[in-house]
Amino acid sequence: MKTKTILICGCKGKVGKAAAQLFSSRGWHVAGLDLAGENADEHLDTYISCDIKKTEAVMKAVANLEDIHPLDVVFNAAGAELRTGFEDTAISHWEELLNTILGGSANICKAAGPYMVKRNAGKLLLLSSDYSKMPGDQILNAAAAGTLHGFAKSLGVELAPSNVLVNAVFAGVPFDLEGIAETVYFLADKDSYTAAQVVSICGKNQVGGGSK
Amino acid sequence: MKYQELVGKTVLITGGTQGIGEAMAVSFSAQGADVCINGRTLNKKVRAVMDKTGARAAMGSILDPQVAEDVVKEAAGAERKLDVLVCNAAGMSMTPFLESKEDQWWEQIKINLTGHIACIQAVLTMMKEHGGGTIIVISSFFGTIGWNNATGYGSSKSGLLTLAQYLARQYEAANIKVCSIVPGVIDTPQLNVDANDLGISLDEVRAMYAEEIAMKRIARPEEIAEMALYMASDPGRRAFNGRHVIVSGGEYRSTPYYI
Repeated sequence: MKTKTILICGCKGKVGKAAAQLFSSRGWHVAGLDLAGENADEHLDTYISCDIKKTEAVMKAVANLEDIHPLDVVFNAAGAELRTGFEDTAISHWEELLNTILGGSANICKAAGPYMVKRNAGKLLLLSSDYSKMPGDQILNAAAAGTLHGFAKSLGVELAPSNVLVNAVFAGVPFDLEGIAETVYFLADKDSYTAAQVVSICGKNQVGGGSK
Repeated sequence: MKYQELVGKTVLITGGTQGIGEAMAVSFSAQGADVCINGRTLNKKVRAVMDKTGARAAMGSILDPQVAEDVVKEAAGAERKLDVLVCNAAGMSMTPFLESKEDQWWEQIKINLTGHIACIQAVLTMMKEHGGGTIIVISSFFGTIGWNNATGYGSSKSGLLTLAQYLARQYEAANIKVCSIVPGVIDTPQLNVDANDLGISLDEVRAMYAEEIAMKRIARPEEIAEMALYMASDPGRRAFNGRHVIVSGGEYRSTPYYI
């Protein structure tokens, strides 16, 4: 059986690292994308430094990766958070957040999507943070994460006829890293009919969630 | 008069110059509210709405955050009082996402979501000063279930829904209620965008949607305005605070998830 390839965006973050480790341990070829200049992660077979907010850069990065290995799955775990509350956040800072959360996913989907459509196969999994159990003012963080729901469902409907399955992985914060990694693995490796959905999973210390 | 408590209440409706916004201007005015409509251009059409309803206007595109703030301040007047903010203004463009042009794709998000964030930021202090207020958010089933060729609009409308839930939770103690409406298919000029996307006429798109709706017809804008009125009323704003209602003639059914 041919080795499958996953591209993990935000591979240097906690979620990205956990996913890279899991997929690598299960024999997948793992490509990672993040801002940092160099890679020190042993679980990555390929690493590309790229700012996910920059459309052209993302297009180039994906083109380069596709030359090496066709991407079977993309998992976008590149995230960002505001520490300021709703009333204390300048609109420009909100836009910066949205450019990372929605813009990042939009850019990676636009770059990787066409290749997957051409092959009539592929999965685009977008991490969306669920702040519902978090204290404090998470209004703008949550709103940014919420844009991925309408996005994933609409793009999911558009690409489903090409057997490209787009789903948002809506993960409770604080993250259950193992839960996220395993669920992404399930969706990447085993699932074949979940499309255009917001797949909601428990965070740490939540009902049903892990306590590790 | 259905809702006595709306008499004299100051209501700002963004995108209040046509469609659902215009219908809400009519309904709120009929209840004796002091209505202010916001739109981009003060033309004959807008003046006709003002004449019909007695509403005043605070014009400008909320695409510009400073304009959004100015519009809210103008609507609130010298007393800095705005009882109800209806976040209704919406731009929409439809294209297959992989073929979309970045600027056009983002513009609707900047109006629908970012523009209203700017409006709400401006209104919160004033509402707190006056002991509370109501924010009504108009989302869309394009946001809740997604729709072909509507990734940009869908993103903005799902973002609005999340925004509303979290705002409600944060400002509960300040007696600022945030209620959302998810309209189904409504008979407004925005349907032209759907029609163009499908390459059919307005009448054909109306019939197409109607066929797929349990009630076998699309909504009149007044039917959404009716829900907005209730959400502005005392019992309605309590009942639907932090929540949304899908007003869609039987379609897009779901069991809501709340934080």
